[in-house]
Amino acid sequence: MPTPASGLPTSELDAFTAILGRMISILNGKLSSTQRQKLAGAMPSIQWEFPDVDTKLCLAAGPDALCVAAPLDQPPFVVRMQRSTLEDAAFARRSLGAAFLAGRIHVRGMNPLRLREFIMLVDPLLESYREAYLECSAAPSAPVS
Amino acid sequence: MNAPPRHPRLFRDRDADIGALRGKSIAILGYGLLGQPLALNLRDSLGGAAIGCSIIVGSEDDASSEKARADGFEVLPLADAAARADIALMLLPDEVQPERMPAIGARLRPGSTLLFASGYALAYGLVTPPDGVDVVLFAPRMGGEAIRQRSVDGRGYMAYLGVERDSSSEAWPRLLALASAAGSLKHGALEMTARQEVLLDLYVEQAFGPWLGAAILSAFHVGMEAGLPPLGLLMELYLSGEMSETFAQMARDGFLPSTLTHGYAAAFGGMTRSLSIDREQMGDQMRGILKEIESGAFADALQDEHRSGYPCRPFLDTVVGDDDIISRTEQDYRQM
Repeated sequence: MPTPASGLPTSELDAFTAILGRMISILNGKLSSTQRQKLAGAMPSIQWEFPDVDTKLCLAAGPDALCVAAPLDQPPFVVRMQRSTLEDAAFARRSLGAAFLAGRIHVRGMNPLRLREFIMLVDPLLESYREAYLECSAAPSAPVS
Repeated sequence: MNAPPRHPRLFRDRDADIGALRGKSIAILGYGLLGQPLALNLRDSLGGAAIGCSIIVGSEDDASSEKARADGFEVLPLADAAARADIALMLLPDEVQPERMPAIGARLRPGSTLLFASGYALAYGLVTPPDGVDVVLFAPRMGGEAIRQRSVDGRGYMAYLGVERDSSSEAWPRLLALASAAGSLKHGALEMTARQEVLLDLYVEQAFGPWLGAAILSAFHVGMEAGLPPLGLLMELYLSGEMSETFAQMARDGFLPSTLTHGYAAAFGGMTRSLSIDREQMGDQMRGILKEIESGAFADALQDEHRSGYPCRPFLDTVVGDDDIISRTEQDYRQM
């Protein structure tokens, strides 16, 4: 769970957590059963870490649905980036490819031979984040970073 | 004391007699990165009256076929070109060869030679060349553009050579003649099996290449964060050509001796910093990669990627084609 140690107001952390939660719900609707099964087979859990806001989201992939699990101390697969990196990609200001080149995304523990399953998740996840952000903030325009 | 390593045989032009190819029909199957330079080199060497080879191209890709016709070659469908060949060069992409091989193999004549420029499909058992056909390896260790340039200017280029099956008892003379005509043996070619070739190739591409790329990216971005000029960083890393000269010097003078030619400050700094690199972690990762290559797990993933329509390709295109600071800096420099 987010803590004030991140330096962000608690309300902002709560808002970010709420967006992530809503993102998972939306994402479930975007992935087919086959895609979920492939993801569950390749990487049963992915821990997304946002160190700038001291937030960890453990995404557990089951054959029926993706759900949020308790963050792990030693997760097998971690994707770490700043919240702004996620938001820049979600709102097409800067692609994840460019962020990866610039060293703004750190991936640990992924079996590179299962990259396909991870890539399959990326676009729906970014779309889901964007939709969740707009819903939660009730703002008509994209956030300014 | 360990026994000295047993090196593979090294072949040069003096070991080849291109007369072994007199009057042969050579089919270039695939006119891409390797097909074009090899076809042009072979035509330069063998197309005259003295040897009198005919060189045709097999291609079913519109752009490649057009390019081959523009270069003056007769272009046929792959299987038809194979049917005309005394020597067929399989130059299609590795992952595509398994699905094309049955139709090509069915048209190859007994006694002909099927040449692979990569050991991949052979080593992983993804293709079954027909009985009665010689199966050989001629795997250049150079990109297509350099193959052509180094042949035109007479330097030649390193390649790996091997005979996987010698049905005709003529496989070696034909292979050496072909390697010589393709311009390689001026530099030299090492004997290698298809399996050794593919393990070496994939291992260095996957275990060494990514570390080199990551080191360049990290050095650039960390330097930029510290306020160093982006163009200066790229100059130091590769843009000035100093780094490629250093690699050329390693090849010429030796890896370790070349270290001292950059002055004591460079050698002292490099040595002290090298000691702090976690070679154990690096080695562990490299061993893991090699294991997946040896076991065929990587080949399985690549074949799956191909069968599924290259789903990872868009991400790769995004990474290499993005409007990033490195590309912009390079463009700025070229416009200066």
